[in-house]
Amino acid sequence: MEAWNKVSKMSSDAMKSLQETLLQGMLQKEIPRHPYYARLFQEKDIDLSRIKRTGDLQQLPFTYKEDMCPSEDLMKPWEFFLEAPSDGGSPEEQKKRGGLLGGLLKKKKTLDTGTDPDLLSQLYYTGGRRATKPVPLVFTAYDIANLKEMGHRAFQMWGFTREETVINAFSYMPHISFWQQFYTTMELGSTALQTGGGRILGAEKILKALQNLEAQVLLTFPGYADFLLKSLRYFDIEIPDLETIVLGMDDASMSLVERLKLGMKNAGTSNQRIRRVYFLSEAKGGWPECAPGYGYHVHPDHALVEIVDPETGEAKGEEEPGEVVVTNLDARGTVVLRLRSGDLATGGITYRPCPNCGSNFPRILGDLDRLDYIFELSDSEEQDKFNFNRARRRLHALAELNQWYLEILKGSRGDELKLYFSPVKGLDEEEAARKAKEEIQQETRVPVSTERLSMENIIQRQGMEKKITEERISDMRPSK
Amino acid sequence: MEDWKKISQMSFKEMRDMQNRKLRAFIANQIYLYSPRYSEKLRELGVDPVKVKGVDDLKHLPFTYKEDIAPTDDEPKRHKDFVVRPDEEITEKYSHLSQLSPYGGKAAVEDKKYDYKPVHIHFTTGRTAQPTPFVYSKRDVENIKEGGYRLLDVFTIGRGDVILNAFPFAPHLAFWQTFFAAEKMGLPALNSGGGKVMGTNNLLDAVEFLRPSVLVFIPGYAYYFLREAAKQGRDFSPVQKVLFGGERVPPGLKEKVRGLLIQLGAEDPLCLATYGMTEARTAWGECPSHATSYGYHTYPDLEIFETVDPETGENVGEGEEGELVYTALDWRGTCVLRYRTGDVAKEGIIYEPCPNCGRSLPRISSNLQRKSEYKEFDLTKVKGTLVNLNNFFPLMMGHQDIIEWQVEIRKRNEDPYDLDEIYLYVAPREGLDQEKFTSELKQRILRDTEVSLTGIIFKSVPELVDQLGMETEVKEKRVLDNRPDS
Repeated sequence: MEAWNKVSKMSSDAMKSLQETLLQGMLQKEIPRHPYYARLFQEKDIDLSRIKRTGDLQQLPFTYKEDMCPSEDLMKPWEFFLEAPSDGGSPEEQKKRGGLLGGLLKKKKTLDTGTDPDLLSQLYYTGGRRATKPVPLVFTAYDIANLKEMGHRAFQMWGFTREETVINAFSYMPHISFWQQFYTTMELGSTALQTGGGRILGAEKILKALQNLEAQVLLTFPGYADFLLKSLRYFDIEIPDLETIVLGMDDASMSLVERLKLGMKNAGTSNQRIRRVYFLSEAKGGWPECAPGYGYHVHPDHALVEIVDPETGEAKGEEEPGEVVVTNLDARGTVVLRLRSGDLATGGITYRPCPNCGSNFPRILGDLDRLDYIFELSDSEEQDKFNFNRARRRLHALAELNQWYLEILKGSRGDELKLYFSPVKGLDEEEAARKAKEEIQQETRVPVSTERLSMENIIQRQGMEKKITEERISDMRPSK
Repeated sequence: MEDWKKISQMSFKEMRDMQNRKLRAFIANQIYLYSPRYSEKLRELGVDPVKVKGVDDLKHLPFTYKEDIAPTDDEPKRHKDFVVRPDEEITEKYSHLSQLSPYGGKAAVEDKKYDYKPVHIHFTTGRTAQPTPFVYSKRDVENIKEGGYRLLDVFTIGRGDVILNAFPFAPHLAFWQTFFAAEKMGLPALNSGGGKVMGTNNLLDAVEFLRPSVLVFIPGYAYYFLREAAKQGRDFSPVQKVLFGGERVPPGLKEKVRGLLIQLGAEDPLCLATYGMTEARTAWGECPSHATSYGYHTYPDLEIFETVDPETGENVGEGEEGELVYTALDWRGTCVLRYRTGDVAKEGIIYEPCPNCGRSLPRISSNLQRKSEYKEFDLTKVKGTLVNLNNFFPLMMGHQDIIEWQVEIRKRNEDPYDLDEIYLYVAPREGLDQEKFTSELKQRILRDTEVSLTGIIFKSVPELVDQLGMETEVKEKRVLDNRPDS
């Protein structure tokens, strides 16, 4: 990756040119040793030398998460791993490296320092939300260096220094969200506790750590941040030093951001800053947002993002909503081209300079919708598309709801929704139920019923401290 | 820290001289000045730090016990007093020259941050007291990395090996020591977080996908995991070594694990144990051998081990049974001196060069008994007798006919004032004569643990696996004390 200062100040033309150089390097130097794409492009008779500009990428087929999924063949993800170049390399390459001896010496040196770009370093996994199984992704030493750089850029963007004490409460799994934060705090020299999240330490210990370490920064997924803030009174814990919550791993809509700010204010924190990161596993790093609402800043020297129509695959114009498609520009190990993320950027992508931080990075705007959160529902008369992403944002905006959980059920006359909720103490329970029902019915015509449950019961149903991120909806209909 | 190869070949005298030199400097320049707890204690006892000339003078220093460090409700931040940290007044007094020096300035501040600023934290497991944080500065992180490198080197693990770290994720030493070891050696690794994080089936897939040569496990989970692998006919042929940590590994369990690995296609696999403790902030390993245990190879430039009589606290001689006492050397962050580990080394510490690998490092006998659990946790008054439940571990783990087990202590009639009862849940291998097995097991338990069981309850393997929390707990629950509070 390039120097941060240089990239953030690049003109859009210079950035485009940098991306094209990187794309050509990836396609011409790296992809020939990529088992899956080398075979695919040969089969489809695609000439990579003709792809010079980012716009030419449309000549390449999309890659879907299912293409990498190890459901049937355990070894399938290896097909996406760049094979190490042969020891000698081509005569030209050998010459460049100072002949065979020079090559060997360089290889020895890189091995000794652990910087061989093709040397497998860590195996991480995707979150596994859409594919049937989490997909292993190979990170080489080169990718780990990039991951550190991206974490460093995010911290710099947010103005974090090593003086901040950080509690990393991202759920532990071999996933970039946890590890990017670990590497960043370690490199920077921040005092940090890597908790592994609620399913490892539980809310009380995490809150106590926030209190005892007088931490200013909490890193976690959105639902858990909300849960922690609501648990403060129960555990009789105060966290006045907390200033910033960094969210990732799950969509943090603006309605949730506002809810969390209010939660922080009620908890008496010294500041109420929320920062968001979009972690897309296959992109091999997180894209930070300088401040809520300004969009996720894509590292243009690391990945190329396209926005396409989720139905037709056609490219969308600037700031038009569409599915996020990612191409690795500067990666080793597992490499993907034109991967369909399954995430819908409701505000599309913009190349205008950021009005907040002034950087020229491409920015993914709006809330992120998960395509697998759009359900087909049918009542007695017709089919209905239920966009749970929107319903979720509406429910997050309701101040009366403490916790909630939605089930899709098969009723005698068609599909139905059932909302389990716990209201905020002291507020009118019936009013909360009425409002929640109304909000859901803005998104669907199928009948909605409500039932009040204890917060503990709902937390259990959500799997708040059992799963990587909590689940807010469950499709209980018998599978067809 | 010193060069690993160099210290591995030092004579006893050279090693002691190095330790004496380091200890003198450490006590005078770090502990006495910057450790609030020890500074106060030494002043209180009238110990002149300059007079601590070497290892032999350690006996003039007081012991430190777990309960001295662990936070309590009254003193939740007590552990902070053990963190070596220059305060502003002392820095002003002693460091002004370096700060004013033309070569100092910003670099001097950076050095101080490197040395003292905490960047990483582990906790004790909290079985016997509240979880206690132990902090690492960046300098300490280099030490834990070096400790990890040495650990792998003792195990003859190096370039070409691939590691699957299946320790449960937690801010605990075991997981992180493995991570830092692989990182320092530049070895490919999957830091899985264990079955609780990834699920056993995904972890089994990961072994076949990554084809690791080294598996790193908690013993109880390893046995369960490999049984599942065998049941599913998995291919573990690349596995050469299994490293255990987190709890003791009885020889019988090593044999069971080795048998399973061979069944899974591994050729002549080695099962190796580690010894580590949060308080020491690193771990040590035994050098590879099938038949004999040559003891845990320690790092004399990073710590001093003594062995003492657990009752009197008097030092015992080389090779004699005694409780291990740990003193940090050349660390920063949370440092303890003369820490009573509660672990009794049956054959003590040996300073002779290792007959297996030739390294002349102090070696701790592999035959360790956890006195701390015995004293504070598992020393249980059952039927009016003091019982060491630790003795169940080697017996049950190594028993060839037992697949899973759990001990439960209850009160008769659930009455807190009634007699204690002790039940053993057991899932034996198939086809056993249950009556004969029960009678033999009761006798062996009576002989080895002096416990007369109230009853043995047979369970299926899946039932017991579930009851142990094998997939849901950070560490499986082998002993349940379900007696109501009186």
